[in-house]
Amino acid sequence: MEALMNIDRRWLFLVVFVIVFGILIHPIGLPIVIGPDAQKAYDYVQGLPAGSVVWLGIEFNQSSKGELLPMVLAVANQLFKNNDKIVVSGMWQYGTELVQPYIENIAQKYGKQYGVDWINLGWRPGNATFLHQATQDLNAACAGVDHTGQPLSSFPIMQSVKALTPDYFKLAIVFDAGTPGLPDAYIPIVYEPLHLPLLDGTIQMSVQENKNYLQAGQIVAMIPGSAGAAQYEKLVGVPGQALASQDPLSLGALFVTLLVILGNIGYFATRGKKA
Amino acid sequence: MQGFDWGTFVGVLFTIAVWTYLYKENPIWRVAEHIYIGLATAWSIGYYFYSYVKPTIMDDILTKHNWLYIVPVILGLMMYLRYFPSVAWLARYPMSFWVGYGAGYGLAFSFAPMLTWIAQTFVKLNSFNNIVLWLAVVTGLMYFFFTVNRENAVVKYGALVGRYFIMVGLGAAFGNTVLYRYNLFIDRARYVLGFLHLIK
Repeated sequence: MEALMNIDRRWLFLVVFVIVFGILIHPIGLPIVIGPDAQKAYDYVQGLPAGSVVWLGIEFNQSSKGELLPMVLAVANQLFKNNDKIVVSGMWQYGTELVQPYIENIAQKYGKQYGVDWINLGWRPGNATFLHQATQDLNAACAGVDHTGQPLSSFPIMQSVKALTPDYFKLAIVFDAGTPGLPDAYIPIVYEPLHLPLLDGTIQMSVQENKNYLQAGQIVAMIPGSAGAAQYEKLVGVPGQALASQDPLSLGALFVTLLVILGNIGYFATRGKKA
Repeated sequence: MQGFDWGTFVGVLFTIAVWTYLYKENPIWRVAEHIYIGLATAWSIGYYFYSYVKPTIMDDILTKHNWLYIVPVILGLMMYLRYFPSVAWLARYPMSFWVGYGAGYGLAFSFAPMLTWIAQTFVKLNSFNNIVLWLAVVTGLMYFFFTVNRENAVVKYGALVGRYFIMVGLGAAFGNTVLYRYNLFIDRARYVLGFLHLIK
């Protein structure tokens, strides 16, 4: 038991490497069961009237790409398929640039035109201050330009979208990995005073906290973490990175669970001896 | 080597260099770390300038003549006066403005969400989930009754139950964190394997 407690952690890293790399190369195809959260989120988006304008808040960057990018892509597929319009923006540096080429590809797939069916307003600093201004005057909040510096007045979609309010948007989908994001910006500034429906796509680490907002009715639905993204990909019918990541993720989690159990056994077995 | 993806190749090399830290601290990891920090800082400054400073400050003031924008520019520049000891005190003005603005903003926008959360804990005890929620809220709060005598049986055992609820919450948070870290790793592993054409 002493040996178990003193095992070099590098052996554990090695096992994790073998599990993840091995299963990514040779997937075992564990079943993906659609959970109630992903289903509710999908149904809500599906229920929007065709032509609805939807805000995509890209509140993440490279570090959370593995979990949140697949969600963005699945949701963008669904929205374009339903002929909804998309306005992309975000308060995290690089987030909006990260998703730009991917959304561009999806838009092309559905024959959607930039500036008419969707637009990328780019990254905007200022956090809650930006969002607050966006609820009053979107053009001013974005300094009058899109992510490439083109004037917003030159894009038809911006003629009918003046502010981040329920008057212009049917839904705001926030893909958030922390601050600034859902709890500190969108809920206090967009939901509470304006009651614009919010849908949250979040990283696994924030699922527990953000469930509170779901329960309190401050968000209409949630896509929880990588598992939620995989379920969403399955619902929309666009299998991608999230579905491919579920096998190593599940077995990796199983391995950590095993370690926690062994660690506890080791702790209780050696506790008396150490004292 | 025409068609070879040098960008991804460098990315893969740096990913592996960072992974070597798992074995032990080493010069390869150090080089990767320093290059990353330098590049990220330089990139961030450039990105900030072209995404925000140029369109909002230079274009608006110089081209569109929105002269009021000069006020925040001056306030922003005053932050740097702290590097000049004789006038460093002036840097307190933009800082105090910013702190005051933040406090006012917090007061204006933080209460409504919190009141909603509190209101949502007043639930009808007509289902198992609602009973668990109510019990967790009440006993969890009891755990933080530091000014009440813990000899009182209700507080003593209530706080004990509350502690277990909190531990379950922390356990769930740990589990979620582990999964998040796994996702980070899987994303990079896919990047490396994709470059090697071992996965699609």
